[in-house]
Amino acid sequence: MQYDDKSRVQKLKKRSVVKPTEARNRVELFRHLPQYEHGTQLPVLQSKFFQLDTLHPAVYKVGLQYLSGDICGGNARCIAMLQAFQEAIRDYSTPPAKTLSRDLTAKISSYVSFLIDCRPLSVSMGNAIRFLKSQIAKIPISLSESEAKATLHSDIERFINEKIILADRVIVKHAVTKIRDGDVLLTYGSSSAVEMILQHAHELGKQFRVVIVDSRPKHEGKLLLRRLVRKGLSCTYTHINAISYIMHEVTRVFLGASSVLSNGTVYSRVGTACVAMVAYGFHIPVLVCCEAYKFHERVQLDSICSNELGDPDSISKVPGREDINHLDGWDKSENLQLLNLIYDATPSDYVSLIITDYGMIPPTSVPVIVREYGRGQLWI
Amino acid sequence: MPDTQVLVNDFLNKLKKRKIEGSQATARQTAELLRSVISQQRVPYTNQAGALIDAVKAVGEQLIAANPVELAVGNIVRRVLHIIREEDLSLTTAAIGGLNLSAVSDDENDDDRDGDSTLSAAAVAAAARSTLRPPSLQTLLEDTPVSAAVPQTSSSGGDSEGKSKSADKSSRSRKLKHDVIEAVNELIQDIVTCHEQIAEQAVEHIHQNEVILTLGSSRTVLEFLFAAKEKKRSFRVFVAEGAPRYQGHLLAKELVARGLQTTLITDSAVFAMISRVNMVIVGAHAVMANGGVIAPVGMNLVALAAQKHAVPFVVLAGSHKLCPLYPHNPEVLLNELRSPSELLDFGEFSDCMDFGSGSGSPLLHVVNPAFDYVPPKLVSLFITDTGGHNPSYMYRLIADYYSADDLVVQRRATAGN
Repeated sequence: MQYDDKSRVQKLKKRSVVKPTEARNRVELFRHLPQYEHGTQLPVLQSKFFQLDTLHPAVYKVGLQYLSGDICGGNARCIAMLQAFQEAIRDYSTPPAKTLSRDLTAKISSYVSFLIDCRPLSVSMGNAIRFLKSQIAKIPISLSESEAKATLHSDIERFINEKIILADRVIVKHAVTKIRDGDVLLTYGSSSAVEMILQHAHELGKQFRVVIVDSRPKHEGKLLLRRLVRKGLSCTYTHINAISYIMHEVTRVFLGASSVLSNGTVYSRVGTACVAMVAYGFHIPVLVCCEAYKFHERVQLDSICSNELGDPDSISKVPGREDINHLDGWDKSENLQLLNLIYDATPSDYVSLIITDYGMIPPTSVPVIVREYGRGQLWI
Repeated sequence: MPDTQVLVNDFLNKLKKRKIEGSQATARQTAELLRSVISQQRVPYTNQAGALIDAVKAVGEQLIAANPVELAVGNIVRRVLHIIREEDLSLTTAAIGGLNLSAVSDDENDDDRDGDSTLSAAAVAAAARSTLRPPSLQTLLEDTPVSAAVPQTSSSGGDSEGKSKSADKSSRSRKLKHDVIEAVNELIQDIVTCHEQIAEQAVEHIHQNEVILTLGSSRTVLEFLFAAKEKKRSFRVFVAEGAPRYQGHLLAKELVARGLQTTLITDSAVFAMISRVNMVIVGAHAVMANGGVIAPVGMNLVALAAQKHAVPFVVLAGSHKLCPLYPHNPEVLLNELRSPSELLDFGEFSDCMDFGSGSGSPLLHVVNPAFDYVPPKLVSLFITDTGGHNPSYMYRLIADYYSADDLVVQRRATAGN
């Protein structure tokens, strides 16, 4: 990620299908990350749908869904991407003078760069793509095209099933042992793993309360709130500034993660670090629920070296509160920048336990899992 | 009296309906109201101070009860009570020591007689304090200059004549009210100009190429940063928006209008950004006697993050925000819960508001507190209009501004003290 290097940015622009316009008021601290104007690309891309023959329509559709924010969350994005690749592989046919493995790898790479232009990859997607490419490289030359495609199809199917769906069930089974009657559980934002845990614990008949902490600009907690209240759980809803007030009543904190890095840092939705810090200050255990395929051997100390920047306009406007319009026309003034961070890095000392499909481990054991069960040896 | 009753009821209404925003406005209006109460109050021949104190306590009790969370009201009531006691004490000792003082004064400057009347009363009060009571820090420091200051202030001939007439009780009662009202005027002046005095100290704390973080919006912080900008210090500001009131947007707009590099961030990004910040400067709603701070919600988060990254956490507060009470369970007792509609749209979530099956209580609760408590160990420095102080020093300032008898503002059945 070197978006502060002009030559690289030029090269990137030449190859890309999506032609994003750079944001005008860029935050200096994040010069190394892409900052584009949002809202300009979607209509352009939608009009080009029938004109692109380099891109498979399933991949194009997934890209548009990422761009508009319809698909959100590490697991959902990964599954959508892999299913789109399955379709693309099914419709693929090797051109005459080329080998399947090399050509297909090149094609997948071009799909991936399109998806990156729509929205930067999450760590889960990156790991899945690495897996797919290694499987393609392992295909013996003797295999016919249809057999190769069938193998790849079943490999992807197995990946989704074992690494995501079954892994989630194992995580839920481990985590409900940590929930007792009378607990008050706090969660931040909307994590698919945590939602499954809470629903399962409720089905088992455990008596507990949930506190949902939400923040701007995405307000993901509202969706989780709705789904949990429908299921009959007793919920308290609040915003992130009030966590010092509500933390007195809380007994456990469950958080989701986009990824856990090798130094134990939890890379997750922005605001998770604040929640973990306050919980640590009140001596409340923080449990992070993360599937093992999201672990990465990268290390990170702060939230600035590697992050994603979202749409700044969603900060200047507050939906439902028209009186908060002080920042209309903010891009005209050169002194004002709006910063919409998507992720942040929670230091490992704030995390008590990480619940994965390999068991419940402390944050210091993450590099062990990455090394033993890491690339090339993805099957248990 | 009927006029003041109308004024008092009007003000009570405004307080109950939370129509007055901000501790400075509240403090100023409370002081002005108490000034009119005092000026309208008839004082009896004997024990004028007692009558004034009773009147102020009666009104003050109602004001505090109208909005217990707005601590500035109680602060000003206690300040005025302290002023009455001080002025009464000074006049009593002046009457006793009147002979000594009239002998000292030589110069007779009739021109600035009006301006000097309050000066001499204050100087006399200081002299009285040093003889009759255990000294507060102010009197300890003023001890030697006072005896030299009395002739320097050239307590003019008119005043020394007034002192010699102090045996005359009717003029004494007028003098007490007059002195008290002058002192209350000074108090109002202090309240109104507290921003300037705090802003003067800005240059000492902000150097070049600083990165400053703040949350929400505070006029004191705004003036502070402007003063530093005037003195040509270059710095950038990160403003956290301070949901759910979003006052950070206002502050960002005003900072940008003055040419400061501003970046607006969401509150959830505070931990992420604080590693690149040099200093956190915030305003406060009230400062408690132990050095703890009652601040807009979200401040405890910023203070904890600042402590973790060893970033100085500086609180700016005018002296009218200093409260002599110790906070017991401040999250509950000194807090207000605001409407859930600021967080959730009622229309959108009306189906979730239905009562759950079985227990009969609703499944959905929404919590929206207005204030946060920051313990004193997280605060690095307080900057008030009297200078910079450590949190462990704040209790000392209370002795200067408040009397111990006034901590509980309640009208006693037996009058007099």
